Amino acid sequence: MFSDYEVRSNFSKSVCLALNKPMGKYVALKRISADKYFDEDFRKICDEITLIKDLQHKNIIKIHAVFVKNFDLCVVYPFFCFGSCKEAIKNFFFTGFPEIISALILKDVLFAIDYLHSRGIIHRGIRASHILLNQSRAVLTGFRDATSLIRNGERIKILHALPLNSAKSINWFAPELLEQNLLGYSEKSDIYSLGITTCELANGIAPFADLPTTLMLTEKIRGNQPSLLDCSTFPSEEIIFQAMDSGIGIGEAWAADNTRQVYSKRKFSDPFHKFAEECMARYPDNRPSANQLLTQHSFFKQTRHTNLEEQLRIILEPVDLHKLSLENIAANKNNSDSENDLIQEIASLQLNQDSEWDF
Amino acid sequence: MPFFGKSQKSPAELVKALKEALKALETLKAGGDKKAEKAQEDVSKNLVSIKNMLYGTSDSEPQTDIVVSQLAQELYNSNLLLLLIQNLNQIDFEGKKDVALVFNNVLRRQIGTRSPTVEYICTKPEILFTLMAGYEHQEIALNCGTMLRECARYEALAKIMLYSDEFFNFFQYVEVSTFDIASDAFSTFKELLTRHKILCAEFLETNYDKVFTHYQRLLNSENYVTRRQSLKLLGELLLDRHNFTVMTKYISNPDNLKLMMNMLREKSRNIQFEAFHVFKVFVANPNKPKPILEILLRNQDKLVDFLTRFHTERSEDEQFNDEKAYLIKQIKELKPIQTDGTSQSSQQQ
Repeated sequence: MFSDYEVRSNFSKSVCLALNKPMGKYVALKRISADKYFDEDFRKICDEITLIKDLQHKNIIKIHAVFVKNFDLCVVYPFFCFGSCKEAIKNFFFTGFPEIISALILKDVLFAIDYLHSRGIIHRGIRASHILLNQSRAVLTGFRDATSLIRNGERIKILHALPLNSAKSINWFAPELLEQNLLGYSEKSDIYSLGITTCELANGIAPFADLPTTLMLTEKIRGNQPSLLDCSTFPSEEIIFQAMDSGIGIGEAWAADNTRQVYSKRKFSDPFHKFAEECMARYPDNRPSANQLLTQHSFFKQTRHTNLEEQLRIILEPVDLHKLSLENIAANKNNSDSENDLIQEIASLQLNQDSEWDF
Repeated sequence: MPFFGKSQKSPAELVKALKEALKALETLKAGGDKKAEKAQEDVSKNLVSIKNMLYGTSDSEPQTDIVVSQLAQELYNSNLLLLLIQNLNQIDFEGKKDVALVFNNVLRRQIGTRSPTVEYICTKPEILFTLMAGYEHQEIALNCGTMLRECARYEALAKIMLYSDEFFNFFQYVEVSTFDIASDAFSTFKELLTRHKILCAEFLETNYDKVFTHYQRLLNSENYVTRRQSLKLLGELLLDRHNFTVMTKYISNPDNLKLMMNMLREKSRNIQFEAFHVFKVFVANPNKPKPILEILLRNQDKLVDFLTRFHTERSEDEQFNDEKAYLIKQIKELKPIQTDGTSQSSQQQ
């Protein structure tokens, strides 16, 4: 099985771009050094694989193959040329995605969430780094903390336990999940996380990123919501400069920061603001379900006559995606300066091939 | 179909509709035409209705006990459970999962202390054998796995599976190249061998030779994960007090000791560690058979040296360090069997 793949370029220590030789297709090959994990952690890795294998939806990550090679567990995923939304932000959209692209991504993610919830599964780790993006769609990944409400032959309504690997996702968690009280939490906590993710996609930074955990918790429990940063929520330069003149302690560097100018100049639509607010409602009962958001929310009206492929093409037009060839990738793989170029090249790669196939 | 409220169908009607659709699917399977598609849709739709009846949904409660028991009765009478499992690969992806959900719920049904579905399956063991054979088909293997593990919870059903010839197919299933299927098969295999302590001990005792000849192959597998998992399970089996007889037999065989000593030196640290937990039983045995003792004696110094340097970074694992110290002490104090020598010499005199 392993001999079917030829490693072309390493994305990180464990993930590489590989060519599936029999199929002539590119894939993301993740090599997990199984011997580094003790039984319980290894079990978790296996559970995640089993869970993903049990799901079939166009907006949920697929696993093409899993096999053992020496001491490594190799997992073959489809290749997503922009990586995660978090990486896409870092590489292309420093101040967040344009509203239309956010809307298209969120719609895809909501399709996935709606599917999961209808199957009684809670994801518990929705955030930009768990949404992968290629030139035509977004898919949900990061299922390490997902769990099923259907267990032991019955469907339970609420959960109480914190997800096991929760530390990294804590800023995205819903207040009722963090409160850890008798009321527990339900699939609606995913909707809250989607609200935080909405801010992350739109703003380019995740809410609460610089806040101490306790303060984040108090803010959430008080019902304070992060917001989408645009001219309606973010002070304009003039106001900032006035504030500076009046002696309020805002540094010049802060005001001159390029990203802040972007925030104070742009305008997001009212439905977009409303969408984020509704998702982040303090109490789960006040949050709409994934299905309601998809079918009833006016935010998605703008997505009716367009798609991600078209929108991403418009934005990324200046880069000649077709010019760069495969061989350049191989040549560039050790050159860290050309990281961005590499991503562009990879993007070009995938434009020329179908992203779907079955083993 | 909002005008024909799905939940309005009675259990009997649902089961009948599902059975008809399944029969249609069964006869049409070669065709792949529109009729087959329609049959598949009908199967899935009825499965969803039955599932919702049993589990409820996020906005609706499950049906009352009376409806559920009617449904169960219909399922038994129509022989539908077997039919569903036999045709599982014809059912669509979500439908397969629904079959497993319906099966697992009905299986857990209880009337007082009785489990009627378990009793029913005891009279229809082909349900179990069909499920076990499911591991041979990629597209249904994991669905069958979840149902099998539910069945294995019941001693009566576990017994049927353990004592069947089909059980020995698991030794192949746990080693297939598709990792997720192999790993799922291993979970079921482990469940069958460990869940019901007395049943398992009896099974292992009566089938010792056959089981451990097969087991040896797993321990020597080329697949690292198979090797690791089977070694760990071996340790658990031998250290379970219910399996005392089996353990005694296992640790009397010098080949087993050799294998463990080799595994102590494997590249994988996890395998070394698991091998340690089997190896310790050989050393701790107060009545070591002569061949075992001889091997240990021949390697006395090397073993002491090896164990002293073995996994020294686990300083926080107190139990492990105590056990290691105990083993080193035991091995240091090993002495050749004097009685044999003296009795022989006395005979000569």
